[in-house]
Amino acid sequence: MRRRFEEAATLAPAAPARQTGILAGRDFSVTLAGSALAAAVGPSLAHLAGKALSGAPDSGAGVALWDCAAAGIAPPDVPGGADWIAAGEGWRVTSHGQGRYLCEERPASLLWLDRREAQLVGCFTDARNLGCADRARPLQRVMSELCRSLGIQEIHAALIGKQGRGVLLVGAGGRGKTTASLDALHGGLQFLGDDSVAIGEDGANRLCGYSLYASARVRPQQLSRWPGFHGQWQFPAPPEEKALLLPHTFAPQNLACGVQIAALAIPVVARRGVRIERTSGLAAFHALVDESRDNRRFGMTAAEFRCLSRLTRTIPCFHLEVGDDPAEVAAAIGGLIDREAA
Amino acid sequence: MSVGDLTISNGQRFGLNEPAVVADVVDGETIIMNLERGDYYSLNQSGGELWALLVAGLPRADILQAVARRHDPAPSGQEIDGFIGKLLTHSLIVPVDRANGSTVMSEPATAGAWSIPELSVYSDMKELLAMDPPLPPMGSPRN
Repeated sequence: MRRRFEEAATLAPAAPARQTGILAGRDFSVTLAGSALAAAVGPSLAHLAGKALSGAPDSGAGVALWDCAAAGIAPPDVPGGADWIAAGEGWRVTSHGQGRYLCEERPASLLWLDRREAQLVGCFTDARNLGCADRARPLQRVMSELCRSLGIQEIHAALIGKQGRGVLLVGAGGRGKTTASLDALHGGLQFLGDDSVAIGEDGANRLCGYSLYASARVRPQQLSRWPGFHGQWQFPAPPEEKALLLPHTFAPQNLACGVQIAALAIPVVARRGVRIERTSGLAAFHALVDESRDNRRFGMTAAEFRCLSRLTRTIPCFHLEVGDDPAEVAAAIGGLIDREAA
Repeated sequence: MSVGDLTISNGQRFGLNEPAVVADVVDGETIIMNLERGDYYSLNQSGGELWALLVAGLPRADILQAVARRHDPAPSGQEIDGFIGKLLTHSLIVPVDRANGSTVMSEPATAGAWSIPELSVYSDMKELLAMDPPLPPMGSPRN
């Protein structure tokens, strides 16, 4: 797979787009071969660009993807004899090499993860045809295992930051995570994710949240809530419903890679003003465990359980009623971060 | 007392069913997860109090004495055995010969007024994990 990528990087009409940054304290590179691919999935990963820790471009974990159509390089066949198989509609994940390698096959992509080296190499059949969901979260299910290789865990949550601290928004789908996080972005706060982020401990044993994708997807009827995003939406082709927002393309200064978690909030959309009330860590724990179903597809480890319980045991938890006024929501979230970070 | 096929003697000790089961206390409520099955559980306050004594490896007789000292009227042995039976049924604890002392909870479950010890079961992930069994760790032999 790596050889095919190198070949594709040579044959693609444009030079590969490469960015090196830091994810969860480790050097992390993203290399995209093919200009259509760079345009399609680059913005959702672009926030990872930054100054590398070691300065050695190939020393860290990373993602290398190519566009089969642009390079004329087809993906290799997936070998038989898998160690382990999980499958669903339109996807299959297999494990090879006694669990070292994980392969995700989908009609639009083939992704291979080396779990030991935290290196993901993959290809997309034709980047020009990628839908909004693939553009928003191109690394699909193997992202959760890539996170594990980096010592962090992917969770189903949104994350908002301000001056290095952040609030993690947890709860069921449709309860307001995306709405609240886009309200916050619209109001000038930092956006780290609306649906899929990671948590872990930094070198000082502090609980931190990490951005995985700088993207958000929203149903079309909601778009008028954020007039400042007018003209920034990418609209889907049916049957996809949700429009895509890529903040890196218009507000890169409002993106961050990681923050120390100062508060947890369980949002609920309410037809009235914004209200924040303290709630139990247990409620947040249930929300976190229940709503990380897809990320838990590959099971949960004892360390991940303890990280979740430590998070909900030690970080203050709140109910957040998301009212009609996005500015009011942003101010409330910013105020919450300020209070809990103090 | 007999729970299913298991007779609980006064000297019987129990321990956490490691490594499949992990537990912690959040806001005074004990939460337990069976990592292999994907089920997770919570205990009410009295259940948490018993849980802490059980996974500390105390023999049944000492557990009965400990809760009798804390609560008046003391809960019956039958009530406590019934709760132990539920924990065994869900494979959250296992009989052990001696206390291993390895189970340390991050914060103690508080001992408030006694109520019937309850185990709540959340099986939301069970169906999912049954479909896609947990990915084995690297180096595992082929399934």
